Amino acid sequence: MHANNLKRIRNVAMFFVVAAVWIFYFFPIYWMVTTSFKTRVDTFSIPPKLFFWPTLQYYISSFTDPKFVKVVQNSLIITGTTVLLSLLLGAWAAYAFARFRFKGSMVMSFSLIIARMMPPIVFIVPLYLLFNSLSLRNTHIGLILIFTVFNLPFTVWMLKSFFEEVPIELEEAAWIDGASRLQAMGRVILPLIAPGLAATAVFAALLAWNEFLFALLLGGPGTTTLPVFLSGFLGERDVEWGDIMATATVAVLPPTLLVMLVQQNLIKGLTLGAVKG
Amino acid sequence: MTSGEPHASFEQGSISQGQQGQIRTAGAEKRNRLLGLPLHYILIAPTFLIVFGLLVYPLGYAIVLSFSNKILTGSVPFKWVGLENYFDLLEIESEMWTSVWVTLRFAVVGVLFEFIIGLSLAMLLNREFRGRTWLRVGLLVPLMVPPLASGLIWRMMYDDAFGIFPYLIRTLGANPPIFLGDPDYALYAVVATEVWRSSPFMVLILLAALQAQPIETIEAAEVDGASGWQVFRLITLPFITPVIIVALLFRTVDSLRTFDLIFLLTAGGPGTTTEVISMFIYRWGFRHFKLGFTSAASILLMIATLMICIFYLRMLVVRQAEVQLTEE
Repeated sequence: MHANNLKRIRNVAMFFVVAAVWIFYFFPIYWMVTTSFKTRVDTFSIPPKLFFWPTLQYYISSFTDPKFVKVVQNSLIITGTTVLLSLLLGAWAAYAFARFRFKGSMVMSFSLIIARMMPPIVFIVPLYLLFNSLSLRNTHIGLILIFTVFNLPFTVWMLKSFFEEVPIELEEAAWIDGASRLQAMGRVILPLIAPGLAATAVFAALLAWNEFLFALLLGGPGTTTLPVFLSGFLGERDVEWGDIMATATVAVLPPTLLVMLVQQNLIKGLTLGAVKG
Repeated sequence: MTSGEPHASFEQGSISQGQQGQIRTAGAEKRNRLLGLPLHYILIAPTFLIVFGLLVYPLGYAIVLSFSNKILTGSVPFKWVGLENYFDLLEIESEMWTSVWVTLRFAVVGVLFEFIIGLSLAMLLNREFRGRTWLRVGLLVPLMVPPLASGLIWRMMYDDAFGIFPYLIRTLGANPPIFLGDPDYALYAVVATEVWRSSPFMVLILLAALQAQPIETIEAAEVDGASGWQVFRLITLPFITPVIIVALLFRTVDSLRTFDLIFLLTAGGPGTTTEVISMFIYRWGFRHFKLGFTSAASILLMIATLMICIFYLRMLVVRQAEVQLTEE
């Protein structure tokens, strides 16, 4: 009887703790999504409305605005190309680091980690001048290059850890059958690490999709990405929160869905392979 | 072994000698070269070319600029000023120290709360209860929100006119502060947003560490009569310490680079009360256009970051040495 009561109290306490955790982490998301469906009157009502009649007006006005469509296009093009480029270069370098030991391999792979640790703002002044003199400012290719550079430490280290999990014997079998290194890598190893490759791609996509500093200062009117577009709202005199939150929801949705797909390998990505999930 | 020789690179699997080893190395000379060059160099070349061009070279450029009075636009003639920028930055009344102090408070308070919340939630999620998997997956969501969007969401919730936080405080009968406009509260309002966004990172990493712990050691200790607290302090904590160090390293370094969130929430204000070092560099570079001065500040930030990395990595190394000693 007594033990039973204790257990019940414990369960109730547990319920409240878990509920508090959900509210803390989810209320802001809920608030973002619901505000995007609220009319202006509902948004500014006091007390704040938890229940209301939803409107699609902000989504409709956004997606019929050619400026917004261009912004989404920019984000998609820049993110997509960055992911392809960082995976391609990253996979080559990762394979070299995983399968060869050569002069400078340690120094080179660790210098990538140091590059990951540096605050990007450190590079902004020289990059700004460099991009100006090379006419890379306000070009898609400029942003793609700079996003790729900041993605490479991630992709190289993540892919390296996936390559290292594949036994070398599998490759050797392919060599004996006459395949070259690169053929064996492409036809035997890459299919085996496909899940890892997918996780790495999602990570690279997430970083490029959310990048703000370089997109703001090295980009321009022709390359406005979603984060830069979002930051522009606050300069307006009459802040239309429904509009902002609809745009924010559009910005948050794709990465969230993608990450849910690869959450198994998430921890590895977050720590450059230092901690396994 | 010289790197020019065909066999300079050893293949990681070739541990065994004899017949098998011969098969393994057969044709290696040809296989490991491409266009007459060692294959591994060709594979890493593109990565390092672009890293060199867009990171190393700019860094060198920044060092050179930091000794000049370079200005983006304006009529001041270019001139070498030696260490003057560094002296200006490091002198006692320099605005940089205000910014360093803000950054320190932001990083220390933020990382501390993230760690406390992270460890508690990781311990919670390490137990069995209904809805555990849902909660674990759900924690990913704040992590995926772009820092910029999370800034917008919280700015709306803090809003003095219709925000939910001031409203809740008013319903409790108190007078809410203007969260983002009050010098006493602004920094902590920003920290709260950062903790919301980043603590799931701590949770997930520490949870991974907890789950890697072999259950047998805990059971053995419990059989020997250890209390829950003793098990945690003497067995679990030492086991997860290396992961804690890695997690703290990442979070500390990331809070030094925070820009988006503050740019959006307060833009460094009111005054300079939330101007972290990244905002300081942004302001001097892109509001006042003093590029030489800004470059010097960037170099100082780089040195500080390196020192923090070395500090944590040393902790990791010392810790591993201790483990080896106790095992011997």
